[in-house]
Amino acid sequence: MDTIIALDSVTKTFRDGHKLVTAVENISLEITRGEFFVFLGPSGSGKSTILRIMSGLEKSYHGTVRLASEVDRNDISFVFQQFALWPWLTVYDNIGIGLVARHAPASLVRERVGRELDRFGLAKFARSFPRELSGGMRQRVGIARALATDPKIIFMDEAFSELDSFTAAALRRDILKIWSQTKPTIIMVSHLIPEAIELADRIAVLTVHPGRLEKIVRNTLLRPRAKRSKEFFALEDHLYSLVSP
Amino acid sequence: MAAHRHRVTIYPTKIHLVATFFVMLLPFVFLIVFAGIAHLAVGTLFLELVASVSRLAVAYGIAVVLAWVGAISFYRGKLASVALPVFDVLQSFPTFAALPIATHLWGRSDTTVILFLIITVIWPIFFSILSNVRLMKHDWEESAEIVGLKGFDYLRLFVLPVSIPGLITGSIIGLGEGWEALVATEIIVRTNTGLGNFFQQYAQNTPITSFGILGLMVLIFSINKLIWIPLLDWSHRLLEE
Repeated sequence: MDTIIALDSVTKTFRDGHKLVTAVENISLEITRGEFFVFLGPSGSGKSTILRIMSGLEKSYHGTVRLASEVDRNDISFVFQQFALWPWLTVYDNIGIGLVARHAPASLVRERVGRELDRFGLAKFARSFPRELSGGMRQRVGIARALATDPKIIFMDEAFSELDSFTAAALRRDILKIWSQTKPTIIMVSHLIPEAIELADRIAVLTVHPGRLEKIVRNTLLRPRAKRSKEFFALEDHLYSLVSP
Repeated sequence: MAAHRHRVTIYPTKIHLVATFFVMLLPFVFLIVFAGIAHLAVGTLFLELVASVSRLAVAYGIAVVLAWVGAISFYRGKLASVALPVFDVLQSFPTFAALPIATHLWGRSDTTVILFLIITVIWPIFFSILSNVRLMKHDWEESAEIVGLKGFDYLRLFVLPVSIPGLITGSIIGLGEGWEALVATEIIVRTNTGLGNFFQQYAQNTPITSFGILGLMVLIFSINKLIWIPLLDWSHRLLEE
């Protein structure tokens, strides 16, 4: 199997006052190159913690995280739940910051940022600041920033949960289109079962307190997925029974 | 950085700019009128003012660099937990108590005055920047890590913008204390030039001393109106989400 990232017995505990709390316990799994993988679970299941461990943001944990040999830190991007745009930079500069950090030539920065501005319909807002944009537009900038470096792995931490349902649906369509065209590996966290079914190739269901891997469910529904189909509802019921046994 | 830098809109309208320009002229008008009333040479008075302002400007410049480097070095990590209480004690140190020793060591010189001004001005700037960067959004730091900003780029493109509101706020407080310390230090050190020297010279002349204090207040007001208040507004907009 063409594994791009693998977790082996990953456990994360943290101190809450005087007691030790286990956020995630003994998580082992492998994610394949080009896969759309979703961690699904309720609050307290440690899904964001796993994402932070995999992306390198969380450095203190037990167990191992292995990246494929050709993947390094520069091949990783992250889409934050609350956008995490820098308010002192314009939309253009926010999108290009990853390339600037990699000391990409100015021509490449212009080309890539221009590509992302066009792709997300942001060209008119290139000189705007994040505070001048709606939530949906801000997250478009957040996703554009993540894509501008052409990453091999994109982590998405409940990237649509701060948006209204219409904007979230539109952004999910955009993400699926980009994913199907360029096939980066996308590893996402969600607490919404329909969202996970719509997007994922495989869904890792996590239980709460501590977060344990209950089951990995392969999603074989054909794309584009019909949300009102019998199969969609059946998978939704199955996942629901796993999340709340 | 790429094509579009942050726009600095300090003066929202032309009227604002013109009004500020007139405020800037106020100290000079005051200086001429005051010199006429007190029968003093405008040039002498102006040189006293320049000497004092130069000392404060040099001290402020050095204090800003030291405060910024210190705050950025100690805003997190294990070293911070040890260093910050030490800095807290140091800022409470009664600096004027050491002024006679400093004067003995360095004489009645600019060095002594500037050194004491640095010690006075630095702490509000240091602690203001420190609290600013410590309270920065965790998401911003994580996104800086994810995009791979390191070294000088990290300082220039990330830490510097985040620290600007603290720098401006600290500067306003620090310079407020600096003006106070400036005149006092110049009087104690007994410099041959500067506002301290002027106030010392006319200590027995209440009208001239009162007008001098009023003039100093006009100057401080003008600098605040011209520079600090617009910069404060701008710095708050800088981090507005």
